[in-house]
Amino acid sequence: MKLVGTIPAGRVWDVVDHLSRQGVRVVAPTLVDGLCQFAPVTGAHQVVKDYLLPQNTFKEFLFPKQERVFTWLRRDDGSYVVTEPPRDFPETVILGGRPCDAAAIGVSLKSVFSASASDRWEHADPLFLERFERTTVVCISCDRPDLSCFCTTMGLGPDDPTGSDVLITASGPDGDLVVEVFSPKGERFVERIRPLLITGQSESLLREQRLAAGQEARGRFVRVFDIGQVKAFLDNPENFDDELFQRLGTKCVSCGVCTFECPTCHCFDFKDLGDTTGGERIKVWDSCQFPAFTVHATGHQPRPTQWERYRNRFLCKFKIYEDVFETLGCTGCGRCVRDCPVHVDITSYAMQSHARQVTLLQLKA
Amino acid sequence: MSSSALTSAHTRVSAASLYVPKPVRVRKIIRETHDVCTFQLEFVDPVHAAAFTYRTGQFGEFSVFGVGEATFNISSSPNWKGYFECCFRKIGLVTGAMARLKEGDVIGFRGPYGNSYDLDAMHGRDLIFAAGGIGFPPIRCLVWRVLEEREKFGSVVIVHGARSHRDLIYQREMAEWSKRRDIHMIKTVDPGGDPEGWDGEVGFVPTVLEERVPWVLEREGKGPANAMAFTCGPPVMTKFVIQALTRMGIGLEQIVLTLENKMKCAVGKCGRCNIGSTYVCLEGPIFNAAQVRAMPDDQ
Repeated sequence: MKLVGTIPAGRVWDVVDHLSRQGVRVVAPTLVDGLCQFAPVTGAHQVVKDYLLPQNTFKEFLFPKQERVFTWLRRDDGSYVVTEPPRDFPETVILGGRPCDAAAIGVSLKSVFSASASDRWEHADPLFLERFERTTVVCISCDRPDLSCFCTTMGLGPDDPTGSDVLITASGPDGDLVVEVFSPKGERFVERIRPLLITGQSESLLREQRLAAGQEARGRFVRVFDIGQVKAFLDNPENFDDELFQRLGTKCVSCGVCTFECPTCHCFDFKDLGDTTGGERIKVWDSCQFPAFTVHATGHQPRPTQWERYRNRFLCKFKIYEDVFETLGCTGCGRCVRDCPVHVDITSYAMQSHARQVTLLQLKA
Repeated sequence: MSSSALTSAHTRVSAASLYVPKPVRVRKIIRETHDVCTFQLEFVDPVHAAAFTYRTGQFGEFSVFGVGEATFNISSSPNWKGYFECCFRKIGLVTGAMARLKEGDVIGFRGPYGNSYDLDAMHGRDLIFAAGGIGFPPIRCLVWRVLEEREKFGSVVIVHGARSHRDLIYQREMAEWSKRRDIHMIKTVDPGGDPEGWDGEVGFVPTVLEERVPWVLEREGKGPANAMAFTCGPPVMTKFVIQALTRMGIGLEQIVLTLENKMKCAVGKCGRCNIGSTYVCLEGPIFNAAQVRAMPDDQ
């Protein structure tokens, strides 16, 4: 980590104009269809400045909702020409990302699309990874959570740098923005915006003010449970059929919103557009909440009810991700809590699993 | 942009995208039954053909361009040169389109994927193969590998079941195997599926297995301790096969299953085939029954 200076309060969004002039695509919180969303912007005037968390994550700029995987064209002799599109992804800066999304996308999602860190498999997805190489994540620390946030519970925090190339934190009496750099991509970003930076202040003072700002925000979280206890509960196969899953999951309406808004959800499908003579195969987002997701061609359905499908989502976030991809499956952004139409709440699952585990331990003792 | 991260082992990127199939030509179609076909396939590009190897029990993704992709076991022996096989039942969109293809048509193939049978662990063991319907191809590739080095193995018992005699696949090679003295070939059809003059058994695979196989092994002076069993079929069948084998004294570690969950990517990304924390595409499809027993009931 390197503390490189400050940007005066109110000037941070000038970065958008600055980078756009240099031909860099900037993705920042902006109004789309009346909602605050991450989308490409070219000027500071387009940015929503007072936001907590955009409704979408910026994962769609690394793992698009739909993308072409290849095209085919049948020749007259019946053979096929199969062509991959060029991977000429634009250099992109995500500006105003939040630490929960940075950790989710820059670490967790990246683990899924990379070869196994422990050499358990070598398959790596160049569509994600080459975009990732050209994307710089510049986060702005949150000065407050809302009632659905729980990043601190997941071991992160409103000013946690995990997954960020650059972290900017409003600090001190004037709310100046302290800029910290965490990667070579972050260094290059700082070079690009150097004219906007103020340097030469006392680093120890800035560091002190910046930590105080983080502490202030950390104190405001309300959703708290112990992820170690949750994992221990889920690791015990006997608990797979615990009544809490059916009780909490029955009301789920299978809309899939939680999965599409989730920064760590990685599930996708392939679809063929066109016909046998020519067309394209696309990779499109999919959701484990849909019955068709797992149903076999024979009609056999491994997860026949909706609560079983939500149980899979809960397990994926708090157990499977860690077991398989060796990283955190949930970073506590709270979108699935905030936007569920019927108030299915993954933190209720977690809190009740935690409580069950504690009770089970007490019963054994 | 620096490419330092791209060259580290952790984010190694292949030249070709993970999900792009290679064209393969349908060299021969064998109509096994009214709704099951075997395709013999060869790569259109000789470079692809030369680079292709696979192990017994692995699977692939088969594409009909414009329709989609489906997952099948590679049902041939890796020792057969110049082509490989898949066998499928016409049941969905992709298999429906495949069933309409002609010899000479071109489809797409990605693979091989997954783990494979441990042939070395089978040496000297008495082998029981029990499969039903379209569950037989993932067992058949292994049967052929065993027959290619028959002397390395003990007794071989095959229980091959289907709903009716019309649904029995691989009829020609089954007839050959029936004639061999070093194979005990038992074919069976579900009650009601037996025509006049049917010369096989009538009954479900687990039932027939439990009635006939102990007797066969006993006649050869064999017990359950040295046996290994291999099974594939509908989930309800494999469940009862495992129960039957257990009653025969065969331990869960001696029972090998190949699981067939729904898959799209086959490389651990699309999130579909997991049973609890086990991604079938990455760690399977082949597991022993003790491993399957330890998985949550999410199958």
